Amino acid sequence: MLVKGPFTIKWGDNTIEDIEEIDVEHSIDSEDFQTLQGRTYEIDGSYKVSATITLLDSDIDVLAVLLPQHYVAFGEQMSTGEEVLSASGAIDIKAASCDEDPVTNSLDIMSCANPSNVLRIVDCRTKVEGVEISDKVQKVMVKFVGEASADEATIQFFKDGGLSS
Amino acid sequence: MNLARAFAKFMEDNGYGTFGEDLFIGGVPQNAPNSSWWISFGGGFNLTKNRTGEKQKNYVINIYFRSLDGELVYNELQELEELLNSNTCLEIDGYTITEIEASLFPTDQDLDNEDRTVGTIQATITVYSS
Repeated sequence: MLVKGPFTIKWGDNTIEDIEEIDVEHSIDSEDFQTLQGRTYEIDGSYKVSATITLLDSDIDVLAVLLPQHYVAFGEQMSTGEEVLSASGAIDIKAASCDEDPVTNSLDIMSCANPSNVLRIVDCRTKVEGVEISDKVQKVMVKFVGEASADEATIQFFKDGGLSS
Repeated sequence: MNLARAFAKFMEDNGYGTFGEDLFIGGVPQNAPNSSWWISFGGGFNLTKNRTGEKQKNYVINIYFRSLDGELVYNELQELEELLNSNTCLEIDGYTITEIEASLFPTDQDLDNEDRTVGTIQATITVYSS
């Protein structure tokens, strides 16, 4: 059966809308070992997964949800010293300090079927991958980096509601 | 069920006419109401073919609406265009659809012989055929 869009994208409980593009990358480190008998074995190592979305709707409210580690609320201070006067707050993208724990949620890409098919990237943190300014609209690329525990899957496929909570 | 009939059911299910009363295929009968819909095949082409033989096929459906109330024609056609181009899941009974879109936006076809405004839009339906 085809898994079709339009897709619903959720990071934790937050539904992300106005996504122009999504690019999922999954790679497995591997190394070749050759035997004296002339055979080559490919041995798999660690798994790595990420998804980069291109956001067309990239105002402060949206970025505050996706980049909580960079959000500065009303009345708080930016890294450059200014106080935030807007009720929406501001986004202040600076390198994390060594004692900060990243916010992680699973990223779910849900198809339009009922029940939908879900592609889950387990425990992703977010970061800004780039910003594109065209003559029409600003686009922000946010990368979701899967950081599942060593004994957990990096990526999962299942039916919505088909797993216990 | 042919795709035109299935699409007529899709229109009916979404509130655009009642098949046989004010929604027809191929043309409008003499005794049809002033405000009536009709649809017709507008061609199409094969889009892709899998190595295993399945195809994605683009069907073009022409959709017409006429009424003595010209504004109603504009409103109805724009509403239908927005439905076809919306981000909701659209399904057509009996077919696996990978895409539906209004590929030609509302177009005024001028008045007919009885002073009814006639408008049209075109839908392109991508059908996955296994």
